[in-house]
Amino acid sequence: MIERSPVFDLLTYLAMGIGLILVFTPFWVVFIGATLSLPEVARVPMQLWPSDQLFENIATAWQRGDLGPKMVNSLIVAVGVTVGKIVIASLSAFSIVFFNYRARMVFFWLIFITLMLPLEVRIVPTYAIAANALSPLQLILDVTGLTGLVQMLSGVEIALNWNLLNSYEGMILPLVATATGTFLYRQFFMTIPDELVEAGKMDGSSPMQFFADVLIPLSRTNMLALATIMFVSTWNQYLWPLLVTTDRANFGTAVMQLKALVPAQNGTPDWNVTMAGALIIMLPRSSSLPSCSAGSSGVSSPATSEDTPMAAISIRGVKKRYTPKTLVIHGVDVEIEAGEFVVILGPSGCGKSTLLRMIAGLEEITEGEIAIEGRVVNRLEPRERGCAMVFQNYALYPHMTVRQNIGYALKVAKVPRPEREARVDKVAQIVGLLDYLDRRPAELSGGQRQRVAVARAMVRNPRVFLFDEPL
Amino acid sequence: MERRAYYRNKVLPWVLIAPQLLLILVFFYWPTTQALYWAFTLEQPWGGGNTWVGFDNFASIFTDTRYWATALRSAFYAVCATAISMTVALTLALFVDRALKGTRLFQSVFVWPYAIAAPAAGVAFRFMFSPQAGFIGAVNQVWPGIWDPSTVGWQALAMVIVCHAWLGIGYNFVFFLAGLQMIPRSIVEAGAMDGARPFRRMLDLQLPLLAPTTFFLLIMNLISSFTDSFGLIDTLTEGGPVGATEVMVYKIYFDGFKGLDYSGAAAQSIVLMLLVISLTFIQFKWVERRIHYS
Repeated sequence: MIERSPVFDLLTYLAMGIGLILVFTPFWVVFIGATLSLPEVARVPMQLWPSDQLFENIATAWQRGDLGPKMVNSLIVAVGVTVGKIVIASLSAFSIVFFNYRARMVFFWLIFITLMLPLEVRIVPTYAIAANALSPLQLILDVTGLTGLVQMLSGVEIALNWNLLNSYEGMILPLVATATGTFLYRQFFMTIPDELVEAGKMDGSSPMQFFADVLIPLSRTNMLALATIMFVSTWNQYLWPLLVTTDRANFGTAVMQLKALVPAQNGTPDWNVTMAGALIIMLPRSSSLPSCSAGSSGVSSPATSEDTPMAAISIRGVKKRYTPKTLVIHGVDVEIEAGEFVVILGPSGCGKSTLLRMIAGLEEITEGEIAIEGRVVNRLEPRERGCAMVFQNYALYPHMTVRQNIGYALKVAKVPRPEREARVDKVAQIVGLLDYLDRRPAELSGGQRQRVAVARAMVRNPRVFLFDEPL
Repeated sequence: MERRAYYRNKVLPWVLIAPQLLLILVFFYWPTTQALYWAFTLEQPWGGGNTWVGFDNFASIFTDTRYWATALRSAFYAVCATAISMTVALTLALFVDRALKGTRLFQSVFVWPYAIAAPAAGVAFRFMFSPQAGFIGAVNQVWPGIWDPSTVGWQALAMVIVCHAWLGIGYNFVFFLAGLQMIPRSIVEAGAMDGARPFRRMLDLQLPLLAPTTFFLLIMNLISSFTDSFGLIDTLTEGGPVGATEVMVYKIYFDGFKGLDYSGAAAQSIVLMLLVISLTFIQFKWVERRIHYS
């Protein structure tokens, strides 16, 4: 905006300058403190420029705080929590977002509620469970009478005990058991367009293939952000490690050691060593967040369908309701001959897409039946129907190149690589995409993307082509 | 969470979600239920299990004047730390949002405190505010004995609050700045066409439109002042002098693990849990209803 207000600009710089001093001073004090010698650090007020004792102080703090092994402990715990959270969170978010089963909402709330109570407010009971992580199981055995039964029969009393105190599991597991990661993954998975899932189904990929080939690569940016946050916050954990480790010498973490470095009330006020310790512990967390860009699409070449004859489709009395009251398709009867080109016209919302999607197998058929080549397909999975579909918004996989996009269905079908390449090249030539095979969708024009989508449908030699307004 | 495209599979979703469910059942739901059990029972002095005592544990903490002092102190701590931290962060965000030349430098520094472990900040502040070292101690050379947080309660509390507020600046700043940048440019430009100068636009347009972010941060800050204060207090003052900086989490830790009064600590945990849950609940219900302008 072109607007001159020199006075206000000056005020802005002034405010930001004061803010800079406020925020920066403690960092500066730590750094300066770590460079001073003992007599210098005892001087009041402290000097504001660095002296020359930095490395000596760091060495002293490293040795006095036993920081080497302690940093290794911190690292083990932080990496353990980060990896554990990412694996568990991505799997459970996948389950909640992409599967439709009855207990889904119950699970979602069970997990979501854990966000409300941070570990700090439930330390007392969590500590007790860490002392014996199998106590819930023991209670089940006791209450159901299994303990008594076994004791009667074999004379052995079942006393389960899995003590997590003074162990890495004890420090890691309770920190993994929260929902932050699951929630972030869920939010991200919700933004994945339905068409991408459907394109995956049309390409014949199983849920786990979709998870590995599409969701994981697409969530790379989110995963890095989550990993950074998790790593930093675990590294900074103080209260929980303090509780579960009574054996500080072997299991203490770096942050816990800080308190040991503070000068005693009547001891030598060697704050320079303390500051050097603080400096060491601040460092790993200040590492920068790796940035990565996701998002590109690829063009694939279609294979000709010259050798595959088209199939006849018959649609008999097909109806569709989304809820008991909303009848969207009121009974359609159509016979489509093999090789016929049929266009369905109608105002928006009349059910054109729904009909196509029922043929493709992406939508349940409420009533009536659809047969392809005489075979009723109502119960068949999309990949078993031999249809190809071009979506309204193309649904290209943004992280794959054009070549990968077109070839993905063949890859899922385990077509050997040379044949795959050949077929991709052939279709690419037909739709004129040969020069763009190594680009990603984001680098293509609208028309080129459309041709990728068409090529992706052609490459599989389908017997039915479905185009949902892709033009 | 209404999707159209789902996978159908009888077993797979359960297998995928099982590890997470197992973990939260063992480390969240079971302990939380245990806390309830302890809060309503009392351990026998010479073993022999727990006896049911109803609300006795709660009655004894609520009639304890020391508990009330701790609760009030926690509330004071929460309000002051939140107010200071949010005001500073908002001011900085408003100025940074003007995106004048060189702003990026300031911006990157303002985020730093977010990455700092509370105990590390605690140690740094302990040095800065030490009566015999650092530089706040300099006032003692002018007026001997005027500053000593290790014996004067209110000074210790002020020191802890300032440190907590400082730690929160980075987090609050990031959210405020993001909130400001979400405001459509056209709204600010319309304000300019209407003749409002930059400062007017801040007051009349940006601040009101920032209300959802502000409310979100308010709750997050209050919760964090209950939960994140432990590491700070333990390295700065250890709750002293004479309990002057003892807040609720610290008291739970102390009663439960030093005093070995599990029942009392469990009852206090329940009270704190209810407090945190109600704050979260207010956030969900209220913020969604009232503060969105769409």
